[in-house]
Amino acid sequence: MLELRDLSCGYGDITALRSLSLTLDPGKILALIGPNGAGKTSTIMCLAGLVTRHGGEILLAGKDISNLPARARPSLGLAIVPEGRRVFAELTVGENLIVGGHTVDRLALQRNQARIFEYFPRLRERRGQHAGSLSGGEQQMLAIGRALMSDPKILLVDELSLGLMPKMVDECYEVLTQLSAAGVAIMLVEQSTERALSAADHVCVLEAGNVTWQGSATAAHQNKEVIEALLGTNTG
Amino acid sequence: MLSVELFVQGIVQGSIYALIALGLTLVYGLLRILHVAHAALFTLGAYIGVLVTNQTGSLPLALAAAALFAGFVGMAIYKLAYEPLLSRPPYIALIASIALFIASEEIYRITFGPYGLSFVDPPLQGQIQLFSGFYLKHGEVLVIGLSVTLLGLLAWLSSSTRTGIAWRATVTDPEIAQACGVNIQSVRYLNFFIGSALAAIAGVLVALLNNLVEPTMGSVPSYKALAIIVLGGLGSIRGTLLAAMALGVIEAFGTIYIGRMLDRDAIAFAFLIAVLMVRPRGLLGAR
Repeated sequence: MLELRDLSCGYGDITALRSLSLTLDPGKILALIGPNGAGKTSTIMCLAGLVTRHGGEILLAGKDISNLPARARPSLGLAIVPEGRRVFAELTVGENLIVGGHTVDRLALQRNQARIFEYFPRLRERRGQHAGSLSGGEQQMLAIGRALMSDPKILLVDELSLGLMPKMVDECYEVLTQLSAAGVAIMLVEQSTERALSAADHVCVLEAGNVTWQGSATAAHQNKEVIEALLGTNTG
Repeated sequence: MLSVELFVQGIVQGSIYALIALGLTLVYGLLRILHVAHAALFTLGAYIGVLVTNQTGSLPLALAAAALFAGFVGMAIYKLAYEPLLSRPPYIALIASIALFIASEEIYRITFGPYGLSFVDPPLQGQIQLFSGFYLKHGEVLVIGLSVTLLGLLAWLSSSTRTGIAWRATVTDPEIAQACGVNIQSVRYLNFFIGSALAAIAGVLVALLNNLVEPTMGSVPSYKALAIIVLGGLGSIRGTLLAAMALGVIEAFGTIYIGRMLDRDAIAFAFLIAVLMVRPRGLLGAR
């Protein structure tokens, strides 16, 4: 489904990620973990087309999308839930969803909106409210909902749990699990190793732009000391 | 009854300010550029309005031609002058904008002559009586009616169409709007087209009220519109409309009651200073 070959990216002369190769299949969840500045967010933003690729390839269903502009990617099935949620604060909840579904037709717009209101009933209650007036957890739900409006095949989720109440995070993860069961491939950046290991099928550890460990979640559990050591060297 | 009369005159003038300043706010909101050359499109609209009316005798046609032509010129200004400068600090674009504005005045002078143009047969010169002793020119009725219609149309476009909603999303966060599939380049073109078309319509309306267009008619509106968008709280559309109307009304009263101390065009700045002392971010400024 999604395949990265030697992907490198960064800002100007600064390299944020060096030579990342991985494959993400439909219905699977891949977690990127690592200390701050490891290149996790840059990777997600590069896949969305918002950070400059320095080298390597991004293949989506076998097709090279490396050179496509950001705005051409959602219609190919790529959607992003960005770090810090970045909902359109001055727009209402309903309007945020409409922008999320910018690439789909009117019929799909209504169908997807109904589906998102089923996932997150709170959003239905707040549909006429400005997104800026929502709580952090509600904004996170809206950011996920906005991404789902385009019928994504691959969902990129950045720092879902950051600064949220555990109950809200559980609710969001519950939806991600349902989505993955429905065949959506999910790549998530997660600061909590615990959450990442319990949700993901595949784990990729980044450190200072380099991949230091990659493997299945089961293998990650067995090598928990190794991974914690990798993360610990930079966080502690 | 004098106060009602002054109030209505203020609303007429305020409507024109609103039409001009709105384009400026739209550009500032989207690109953070102070688009001084915007007033050049106001003058352009006025010239087209007079020329087309004199040729065809039709004011509606003149309004449409002015709006369309200025709209495309506005898009060209974005493409040729601002887009190449977007990665530079905003004052570079401001310098380009001022240069464009000065050049435009000279172009109008060379093309249409220094003395200005008038309508051969000025349209809408009739008057209607609102109440005893108070008359309003048909042209003034048109100013209010057209402004209300256009602003209403714009409000509808920005809140009830997918394009309009995507436009507002782009103003809030262009990067994420792009990631949602919005073509922000088209949004910018649309933005310049609409803003410039509104300024051109304001130009035709001013030409109608004064029965005169001249190369420098944009200079006072250019700095007054800047004062208005600062007053309104940079980038706030509602703030801009409020500030435009308030300034129109205050000028109308000021000309009568303090006109001997303060020139009409100075009132805008006295008002600006007074408001900024109390509310440094403008009337409805959020950020």
